[in-house]
Amino acid sequence: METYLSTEFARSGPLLLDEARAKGRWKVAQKVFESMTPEQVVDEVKNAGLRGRGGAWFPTGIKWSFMPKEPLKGPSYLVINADEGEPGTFKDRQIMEKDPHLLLEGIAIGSFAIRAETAFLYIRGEYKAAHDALALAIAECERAGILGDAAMGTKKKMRIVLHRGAGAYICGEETALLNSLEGRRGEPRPKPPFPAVWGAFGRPTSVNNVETLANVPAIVERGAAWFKARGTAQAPGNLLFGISGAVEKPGCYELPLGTTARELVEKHAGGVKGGGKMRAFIPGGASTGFLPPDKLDVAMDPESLRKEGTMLGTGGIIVIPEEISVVDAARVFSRFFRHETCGQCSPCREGAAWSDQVIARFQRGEGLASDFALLEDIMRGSKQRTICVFPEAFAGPLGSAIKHFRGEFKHA
Amino acid sequence: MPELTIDGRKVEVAPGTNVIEAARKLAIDVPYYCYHPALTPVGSCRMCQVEILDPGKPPRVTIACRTEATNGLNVSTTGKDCVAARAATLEFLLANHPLDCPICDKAGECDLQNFTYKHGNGAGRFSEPKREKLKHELIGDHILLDQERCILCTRCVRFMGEYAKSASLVVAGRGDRNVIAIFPGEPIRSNYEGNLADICPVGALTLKEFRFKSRVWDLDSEESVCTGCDRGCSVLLDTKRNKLLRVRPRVNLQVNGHFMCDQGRFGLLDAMNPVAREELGWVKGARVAAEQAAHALATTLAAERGKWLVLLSARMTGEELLLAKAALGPLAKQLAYVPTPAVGGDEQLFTGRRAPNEKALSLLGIAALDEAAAAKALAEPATAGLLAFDAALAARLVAGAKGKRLALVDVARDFDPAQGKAPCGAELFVPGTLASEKDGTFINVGAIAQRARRAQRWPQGTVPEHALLLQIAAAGGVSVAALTLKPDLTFALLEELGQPGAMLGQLPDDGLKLAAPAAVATA
Amino acid sequence: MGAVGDVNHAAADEGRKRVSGAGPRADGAAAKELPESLLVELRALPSRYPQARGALLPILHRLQEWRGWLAPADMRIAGEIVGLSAAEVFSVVSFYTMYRQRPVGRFPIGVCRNIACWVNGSEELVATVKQELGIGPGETTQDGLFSLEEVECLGSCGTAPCLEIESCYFERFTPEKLRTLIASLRKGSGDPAGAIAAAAKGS
Repeated sequence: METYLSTEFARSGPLLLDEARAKGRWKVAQKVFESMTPEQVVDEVKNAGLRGRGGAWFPTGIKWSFMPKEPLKGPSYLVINADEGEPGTFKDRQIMEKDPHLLLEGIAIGSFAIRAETAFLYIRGEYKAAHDALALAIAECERAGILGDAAMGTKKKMRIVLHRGAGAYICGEETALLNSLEGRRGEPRPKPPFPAVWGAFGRPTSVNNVETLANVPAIVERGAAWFKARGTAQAPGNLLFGISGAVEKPGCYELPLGTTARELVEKHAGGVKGGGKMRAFIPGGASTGFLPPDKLDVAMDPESLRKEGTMLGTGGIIVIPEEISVVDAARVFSRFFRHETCGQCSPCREGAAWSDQVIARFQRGEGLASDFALLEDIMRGSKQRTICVFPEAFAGPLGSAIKHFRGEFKHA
Repeated sequence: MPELTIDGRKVEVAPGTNVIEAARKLAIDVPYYCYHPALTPVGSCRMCQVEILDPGKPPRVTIACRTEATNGLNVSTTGKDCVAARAATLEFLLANHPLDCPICDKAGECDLQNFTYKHGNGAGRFSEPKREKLKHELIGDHILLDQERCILCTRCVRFMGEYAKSASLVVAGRGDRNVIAIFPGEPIRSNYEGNLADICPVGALTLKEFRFKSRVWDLDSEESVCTGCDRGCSVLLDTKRNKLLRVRPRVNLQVNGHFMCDQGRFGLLDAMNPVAREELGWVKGARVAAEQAAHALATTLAAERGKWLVLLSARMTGEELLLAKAALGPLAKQLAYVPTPAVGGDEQLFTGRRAPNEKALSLLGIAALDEAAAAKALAEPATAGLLAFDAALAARLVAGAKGKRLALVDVARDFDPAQGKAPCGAELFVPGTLASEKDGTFINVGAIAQRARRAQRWPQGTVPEHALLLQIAAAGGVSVAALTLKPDLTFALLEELGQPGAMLGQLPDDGLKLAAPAAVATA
Repeated sequence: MGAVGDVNHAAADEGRKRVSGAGPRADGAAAKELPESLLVELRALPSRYPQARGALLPILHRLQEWRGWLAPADMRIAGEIVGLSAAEVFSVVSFYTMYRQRPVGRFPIGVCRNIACWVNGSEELVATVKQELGIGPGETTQDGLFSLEEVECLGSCGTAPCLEIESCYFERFTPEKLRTLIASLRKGSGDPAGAIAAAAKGS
């Protein structure tokens, strides 16, 4: 099976510029900057059906088409979301640590498509190795004239500013990320206005995920038809699936969208660790919640998972072994979400904390029969009632645990 | 002009109006916390939730503060989804809210109490240990912070940053650890700190000056005008048993917007509660009933007409100044006032000119004499003495004027009658009244005339200034019928200033902007 | 939006004048404490951004790198450089988990407690720290060398369990490896950054 995202993942250190170029990096960007128009790039990406791989699955070409065209009334910006904080997700990290030039090239092409001369690469503060690899790669590009005021030998400018976050999961939400980039608390912004209208520093901005941008050079080089030949009709392309938890061979596996969870877990990750049984699995990162083992044949694509009442999210599967109770697993998540809610909106600030307190009581054997309705009300009172979708996130594990594993919640 | 429907009723609004304000025009009260008409909206409290009705689609619950009232919009504030959403918000806010009502100053004017009563479910289900945070911490000169009561609406943060221009209050922490805080060791130092107690919807920010003084439902409130400077902010004077316990701003978009400064707010508390106030009059070293002193003053001025320098004061109401001009003009050697300079004003409200009715003096055409010129006028041999309506000015002038007599009409505070002299050593002293003790008109620096309603009773036996001036006119044979036969003195005052006449009660609630007299004359 | 108010809402952010927190007081003394070369480096950061305050997070990272944590004086200086009050900087600092407002051990250990690491033995790593160093989460050893925090997902799920020290990751970790790590850090405690890097390379 052809891979185009993870070719360098087995390396111990990053692919440096000279070797990267020998492998073809920066060739596509060169062509884009020299002889293509922004519309051509946007159209190719639109036709390819590339969807954002940060968890929201919004069509990238359409997002780029919201950005202002000529004549520009001021700068536009591309902002790269490298805040990868969703538990079970560790794929963007591989790209940045091992193949930084792939990402930088995608950034350059994406910036070109939206007429941005500056891109801010927001990377979570904890990703030191990735940050250092990117800093080195950017410096290499600046020295080589790939980035700068005459990017790749053309008259166009391209500058990438690397910016570290400081430990806040909510900064993965695009408008919280923009606030954090601006030196503020990482609190999401009410929408409208959307970033394409009012984004970084008040300017039109497109915020895109690392893996999304890593797809762009291949799409522009080989075309939309090539991209659509893999994956599903509504979600074409390969995805960097993560598999972790109680499996024999946890890791990052590049496979077409639509591959089943069973294939990922049993064929690629070697099955449940120690030959044991699975109690539950999480399909796409913490927010997507728990599914029972009998759902393992679900196709890993946005539409199929939505039909199961959950989401593809970041495609990070986590396997919970039989010996672990879902109540305890749910507590790991409720504690996480309580820690990470930004606290602006009354329902989420209180609801994330309250639900954690209730799950903790169940852990201690102090659950009540009335707690189920209470938890449902907490979720109903906060979902679609806040500035961002954090309540939908904390409701993922909470709601699914009660729905599929209610019997484990022993109560008075 | 966009027209929209709210709860089945149509309303037209200015472009850019939000749904909260559009509903307010229909007297529909959408509840809210974080929204404030004078501050940037944030949309975080989730209290103002309403439903947008789109034909063919299910109702969409959204926040009214950030929804523009566009043409054709159809809003419901009573739909079951938004009603449930608001009740949920309240249950969330009450979860960790301390059971402080019995000891909280805000009770009775608390938006958490009021909205819970009107929009809440009636019972909360939170049974976990409540979060404990900092309580009753003084964070400035006046404000006590209770972090437990705080619902994190962030009005206070935005107010300090956007209006008071001093970003000293912030949100610290994250999530359920969020608190309102100052930078450790850097308390609030602002002339607008007192507003925090008004804008806080709950009892998280309260005034130390008001703490535990009274339940708000025991207060009597009167609409008045601040006399701290000549901005003339519209205020409410809250008294209990004749003591002024609290001053709050009234909304007046023409004068002060939604706020007032601390110079006025706390200055008035001191000024209107004088300690050791002299309630009796003095005549030639003898302490007498006020009525007797008034009579003595009136007869003296009549007998010695043309011999007294009279300096009026900007503390007096417009009606008093009008009467004084008519009554004392013919009797005085010279009738004037000493203008007050503006010192230390700021960019928001405080003008720094501690002379609330200075504008009235100048519009009435009273001569302006600076203090040096006034001293010179007093020193002239033909001048027998000074009749002053301001004790501080009188004290300064008399200090350098030997052999000149002094008649004083003002409130004398911190006075000890046992030392055997009248206030300022005056030959004639008639106790005056506070601005809060009378109805009257004040004209501010922007020529806006506002009504002040009396909020306190003057001491028994006092002869208030307007009654004194009528006596003086009568004793001196000066007719003031032209004024007293008008519907009221306010009417006479406005006519004198070239405006159409109006009685005190007819002045608009937010004041009357006086047109330039020349413009009125040619109309 | 709203009635005619006292503030031009659209310009609220730009219109805010900030109390800079600067004064002829303690922060002057604290600023003297910072080497001039560091201050020069910090003052150059705002120019990378369209608005000065974009430089706040990098400035805070750099100050914490120098001091090991962020003292009130650091927050004042950061505010002066980007045009914010000390309170506003404090507000930002207190939001982010990585910024420390108190000194920690020379080797601050963060053990991930989220799902994949938890399933794969993170609690044993925490227990090992307790055995070897006698400290629990939130505590520092008496000699000031080690402190422990439990942290949320580090993005090492495929190589769980993971712990980090100053964002250097130690992955697929075991109690045995942890004991070895503690010993080698103790030996190299004179040069903490060097010791951590060397240990990370080796692991």
